[in-house]
Amino acid sequence: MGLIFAKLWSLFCNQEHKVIIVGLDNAGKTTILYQFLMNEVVHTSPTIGSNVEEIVVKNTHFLMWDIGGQESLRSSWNTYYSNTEFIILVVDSIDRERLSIIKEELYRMLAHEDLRKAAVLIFANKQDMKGCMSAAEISKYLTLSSIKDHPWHIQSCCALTGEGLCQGLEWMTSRIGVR
Amino acid sequence: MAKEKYKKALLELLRREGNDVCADCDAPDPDWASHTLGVFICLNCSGIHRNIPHVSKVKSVRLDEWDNVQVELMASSGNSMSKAKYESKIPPFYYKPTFSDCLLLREQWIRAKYERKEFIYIEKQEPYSAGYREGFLWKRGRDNGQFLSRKFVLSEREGALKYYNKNDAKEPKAIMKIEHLNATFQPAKIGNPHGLQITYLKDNSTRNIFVYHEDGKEMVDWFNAIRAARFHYLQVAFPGASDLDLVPKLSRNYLKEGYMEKTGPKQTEGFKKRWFTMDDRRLMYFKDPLDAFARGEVFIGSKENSYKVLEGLPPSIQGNHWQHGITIVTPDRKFLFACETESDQLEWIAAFQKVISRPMLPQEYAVEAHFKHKP
Repeated sequence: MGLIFAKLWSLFCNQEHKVIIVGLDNAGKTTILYQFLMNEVVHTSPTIGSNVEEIVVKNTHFLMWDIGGQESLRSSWNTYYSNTEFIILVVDSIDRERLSIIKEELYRMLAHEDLRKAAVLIFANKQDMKGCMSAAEISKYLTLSSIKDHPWHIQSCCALTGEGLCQGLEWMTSRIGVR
Repeated sequence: MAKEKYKKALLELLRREGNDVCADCDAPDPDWASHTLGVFICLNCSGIHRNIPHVSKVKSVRLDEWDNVQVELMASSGNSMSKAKYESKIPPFYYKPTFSDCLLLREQWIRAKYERKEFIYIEKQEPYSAGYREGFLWKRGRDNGQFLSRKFVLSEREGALKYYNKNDAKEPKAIMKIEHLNATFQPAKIGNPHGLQITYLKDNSTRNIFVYHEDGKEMVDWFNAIRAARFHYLQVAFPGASDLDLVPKLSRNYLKEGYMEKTGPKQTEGFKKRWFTMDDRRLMYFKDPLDAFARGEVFIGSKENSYKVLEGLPPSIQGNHWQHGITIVTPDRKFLFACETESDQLEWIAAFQKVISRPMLPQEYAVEAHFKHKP
């Protein structure tokens, strides 16, 4: 009996949690994915299609899909939605002009049936850039406080140095306990 | 619909002369563009451009939405016009990378062009065109493989690149004559994205040193400073030659590098795995890819002088070795090599064929003679 329990427990623990990393082009999605994987900055070109990697944090396995952010690729994001537990939305904090597009995309995702149970982590990336928006400013513009039906968290970060990324992952692992 | 109209207009623009290759690396069929600079570029170069957002903003011709103003700009600009502006004053020795070059060279080229505008304002070329350059580079220790900071001085007047072990040392540790100097970026082999291999001749043997600088611009400036020094040296050595003749001689990338197995002159010795470098007509092999000196150097002449490359090994060859053999016939002896894969074998044969099928120049006879008289 104990053995069976242990097996079930390990099965539960090693279960993979599906994550999608989305955002507009040049937000830093691929750089974040490979910072998670290797603690290194890789040179990236625009992602056509997607990258997928398994990230293990304290025995928690995440299967992370990094999906291209170009205009016409955004319409195909929904093909990645099923069974997604976490959405990581990466925001280029210097790109004020396109924040309205991000808002639109965010609320479109939240309304999608397949993402009903997903939690949202928003990375306010590129905090090293002069004149960037703070996490609070972005939160306000995206009216995050109005989101009641999804757990959400906003985290400022700099993908190039890795600052803030761990805190984001920690929030995600803490959410798994809650379920 | 407007969207479709813009896309059609852009695809039309791509067919214009100059827009059919990437503005920065000459890769065919670019389908990305910088809508601030007005150039059509390839996917790889767009990855570099988007890291310089204060200068360049990129969009995909096929995957992004464009507006009227952006399409107009692309129409009124384009690759040919951009070249006339941003590449108007490139010194002849300056290395213009293409898509097969390493990321560092391609990135610094794009930054030099558009961010620093080095080829619009000649005074910005001083770091590599002044004929003198000094500074510190991380140099790999010959014996322990550790990188240590060393002072390097390049002086066209003295005709040499020198480096010093101590800051206040009077005597340089090495004097490398510009005449025999070569520099080639080898990031993978050196294990550093800015890794540069510098070679020179010491008692007719090739000496390798491996250096890098954390700052990409500094490293590429050193590379172009070496090319400039070689250019000015060759202009004096070959007074009648045109720039076009001299530029290919400024620095050489290797024809091919990689592991092969070789046996000894008796051909009964066991096959040993060695790192091989084909540097023009010099075939060198090393125990470790980062060795200071080669274990051996072989001169590869031309077919007119009875040098030959054959697929396979003589049937009498016994022992364990990789399956894909190559036999090199020189006037003195046969060299037997074995490659791990067939594609490797074919690439090596192609590299050997390239030099063997080329007739020898008078200077190359002199080089060949040096090899023969080596102890």
